[in-house]
Amino acid sequence: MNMPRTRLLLLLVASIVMTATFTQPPAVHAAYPEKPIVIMVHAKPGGAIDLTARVVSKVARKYTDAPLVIENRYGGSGAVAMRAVLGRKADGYTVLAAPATFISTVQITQSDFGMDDFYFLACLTEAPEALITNRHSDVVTFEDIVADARAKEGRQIWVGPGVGSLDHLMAIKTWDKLGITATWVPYDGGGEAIAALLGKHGDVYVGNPEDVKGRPDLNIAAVSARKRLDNFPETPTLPEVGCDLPDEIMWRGFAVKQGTPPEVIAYLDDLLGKIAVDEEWLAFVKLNSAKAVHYRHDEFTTIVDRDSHQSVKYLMMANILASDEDPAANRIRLVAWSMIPIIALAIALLLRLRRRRPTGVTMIAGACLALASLFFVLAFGFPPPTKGQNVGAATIPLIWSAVLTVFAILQIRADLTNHQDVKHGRVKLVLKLILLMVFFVAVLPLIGFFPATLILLLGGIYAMGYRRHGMVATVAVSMLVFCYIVFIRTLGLPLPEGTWFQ
Amino acid sequence: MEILQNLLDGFATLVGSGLPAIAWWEPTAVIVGGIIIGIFVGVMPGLSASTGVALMVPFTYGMDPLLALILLVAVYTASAYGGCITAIAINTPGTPAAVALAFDGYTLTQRGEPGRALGTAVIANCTGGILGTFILIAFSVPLAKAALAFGPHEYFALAIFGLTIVVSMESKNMLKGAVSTVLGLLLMTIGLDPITGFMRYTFDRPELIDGIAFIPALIGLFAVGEVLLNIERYEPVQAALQTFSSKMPGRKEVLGLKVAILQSSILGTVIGVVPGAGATIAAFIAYNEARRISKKPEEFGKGSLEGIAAPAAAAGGSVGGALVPLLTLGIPGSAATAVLIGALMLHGVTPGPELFAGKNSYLVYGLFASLVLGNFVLLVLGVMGNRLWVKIISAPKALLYPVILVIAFVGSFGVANSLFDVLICLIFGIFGWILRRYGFPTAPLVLALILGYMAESNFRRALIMGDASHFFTRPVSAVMLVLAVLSFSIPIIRLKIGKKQSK
Repeated sequence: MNMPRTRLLLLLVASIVMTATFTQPPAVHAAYPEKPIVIMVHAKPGGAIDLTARVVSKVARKYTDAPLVIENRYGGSGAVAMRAVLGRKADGYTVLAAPATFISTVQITQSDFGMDDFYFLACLTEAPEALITNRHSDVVTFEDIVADARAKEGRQIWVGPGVGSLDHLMAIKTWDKLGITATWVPYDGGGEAIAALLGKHGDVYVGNPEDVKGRPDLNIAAVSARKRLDNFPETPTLPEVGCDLPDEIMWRGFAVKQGTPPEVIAYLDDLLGKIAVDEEWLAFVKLNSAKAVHYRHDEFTTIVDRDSHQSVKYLMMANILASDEDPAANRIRLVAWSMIPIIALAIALLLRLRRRRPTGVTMIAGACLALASLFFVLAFGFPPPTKGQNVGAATIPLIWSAVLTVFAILQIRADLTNHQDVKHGRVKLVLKLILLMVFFVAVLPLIGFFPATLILLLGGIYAMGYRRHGMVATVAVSMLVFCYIVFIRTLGLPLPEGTWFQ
Repeated sequence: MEILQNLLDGFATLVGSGLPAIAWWEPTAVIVGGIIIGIFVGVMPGLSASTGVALMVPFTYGMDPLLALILLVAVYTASAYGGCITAIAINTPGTPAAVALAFDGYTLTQRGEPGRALGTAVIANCTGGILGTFILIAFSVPLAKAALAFGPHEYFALAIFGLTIVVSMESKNMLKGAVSTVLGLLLMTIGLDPITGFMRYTFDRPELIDGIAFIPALIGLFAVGEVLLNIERYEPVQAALQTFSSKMPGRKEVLGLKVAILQSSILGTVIGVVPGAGATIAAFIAYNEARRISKKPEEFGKGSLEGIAAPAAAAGGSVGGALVPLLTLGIPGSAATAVLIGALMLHGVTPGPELFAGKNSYLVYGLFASLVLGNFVLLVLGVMGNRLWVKIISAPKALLYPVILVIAFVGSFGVANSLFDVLICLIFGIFGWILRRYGFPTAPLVLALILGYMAESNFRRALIMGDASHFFTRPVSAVMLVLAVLSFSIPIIRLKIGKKQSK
């Protein structure tokens, strides 16, 4: 009786020692940088900004001992990455890789933070915005675009990545300056939009000169610049062809959270300054047909401010930023949420009348019904379709919630007439494990990955009645070692370290 | 013939006579290493092919561009297979395309024959990969042209066709399958509207701006849901008695699959050309078509080897398909090829038609040769690996299940390094258990999350570009929509007729 207890205790002690060694102890404060600097990237690995950050990190090895590691936090067009940076300490160990697109992201998602929550360190590359056409279509030159747009009276299709994106704004600005109208069709990424242009599903693609590299079918009709580009001497600039947009650029730079100590900022400013003139860096930028620049804090901030003001103006013009919230929205929300108890009551009443006990299938179908009605009513609060369109943001949710309502009612009816009971198994054991998992997810950010995992593993194994402690210890220890080697050392996943230990 | 000569040159480069910068053994070593890493990436839920390839990019910095390219492509090739392993062994598809493998593969595992299922999958997958490479070499230009002709109308029709196939696959209980599908479609509308940028049903949570991430949802519904379902039925004594055999399928059995494998490989490659959900839809269409031409369609869903071979071959073929737009147009054919483009740019190579001519043409033919070689390596390693997988699933369930849960949560976290995704995984895990308990299939829910987005965004784009009648006047979209209606209604009609006859 005593033996297993002692063993269990030993096991626990061993595991705690292990997790303690994995969790890094709080360091004594020394000169910056004393640990790896994280570059927060909002795009998936392999995207343009990710590659830029990775080359910066590679070049930086020449000038600093602290490794620069890339952390990808994608989602919300950058909102997630920006929030992640703002959620950490302003100690200079987290640097945001910031592209120009973040401006409209902040504005569209109506975030509770703004661009002024960041201190802009340096802008390292810029690429002019360009209007790109398909050589094999009828619309090739800039003059073609204007003539075709006038002839089609707003039915000319412009494609590009995203809605409210930098490229979308460029399109709106061009239309505004030229006095033409056209239709913007957003795609999920530049690649998809280029495919649409090549397949002649669109007439004009808005992007950067780098997009035509390796794609001989594409032609740059005009580019936003003050003088012609060295790589494309044949391509006219927009001011040349009578469209006064000389400064539309897609910039990429780096920023830290406001409140970062001045000596840290000075260090990073110096580091980025060295990278900006490094041969390897310049070679990379040239390869991507972008322009290597080095705008330091003051100049960079001026650019960000200018772009922010313009962005608001044109997002309003395109009806993407609504000026005020609809006063009816609150009422719709109230009605929507009250649908859930109403449906619950209705189903309870129906079962009562039919003298049936609620079955699992009926409850699931009822939950679907409640969800469908919630979404259905909420969809009435969505903005109406833009002028000339009859399908808007609400259309598809309305269709699917209506279809789900029909199927759910059919399912309830089928279950009332012919219901089969489900064989119950060890539900208590399942509930125990669910409780354990909920506990795991709750404490994960607090105590860190390794201790939480140890609890989940040991709790799960013992809950299932397994009692060979030696085996349990082997599995638990090898699992932790495996996770450490594979996920942290090799793949560099930023698994939570736990706030309690810091 | 010139192509053949070029391909032979490609092989020569790989085995060492070609380039001074590369030692003779390096390409082979890189392929073997890449395949092993790729299998691992595919096995880990949450590590998708694109993440796996991206994580390897920093390791290629110092390499010759050819070595870098074949390493990344080897990882990509093998991860398509790795996703099949977990689908068969523990009913947890490592990739969305592998969802179709779980139907028959996992059934065989439950019967104690995982070796037969895994063996069929690896053979079909590698055959598909090799056939896909040859299709890529011979037909990449016309295939790319066809892919470009695909506009929003056709993408919409393809997504709807894929969805109806998924629903009709649940022939036992189509109503529950339909509820599950439409629930997934409705949940898909959460997040930023793709056309107007309006935030739908985000309830002021910034994590929901991009909608429910489908990989954590998939891991939750399958891995966590399956573990919970098994725990409910867990009997320690009975579990100890169950044994798993690593016996491979016999030669006759494999030869009997040749039609299914050939057909599915072609389907996988051709549909895999379609960017986005191409590989996933291809796997489902291949499964459905294999059942249609099969001599024993009634065995599908009950452990049919054809039902395993078809989606596995399609998954193998889709790798070649996804490379078509990359090589001919310089446009990514899948998330993983998008990363490949980035990695090539880092090495000073711009992907696209200009690759075939000029000083970098050795890259293209070296790539073709490495795809063929890589699939042979994958076949050998895959067959050898079967014993290991069988050993792992033979471990005591009380140890195995908590370990699966840990990996499921780490995998969900790793998709976007987000704790919110861990929560999504847990919530969908509990959903998965409840839904499956009452006979609601979860595969349609996951696929609706993926295909629903493709359907909506292209439907809306199509309507911005022109009026709705174009869905039926454009031939490809019209044919697919008719097929969609048929594949949805025929099982219902059959069911009705069957009921009448039994009365």
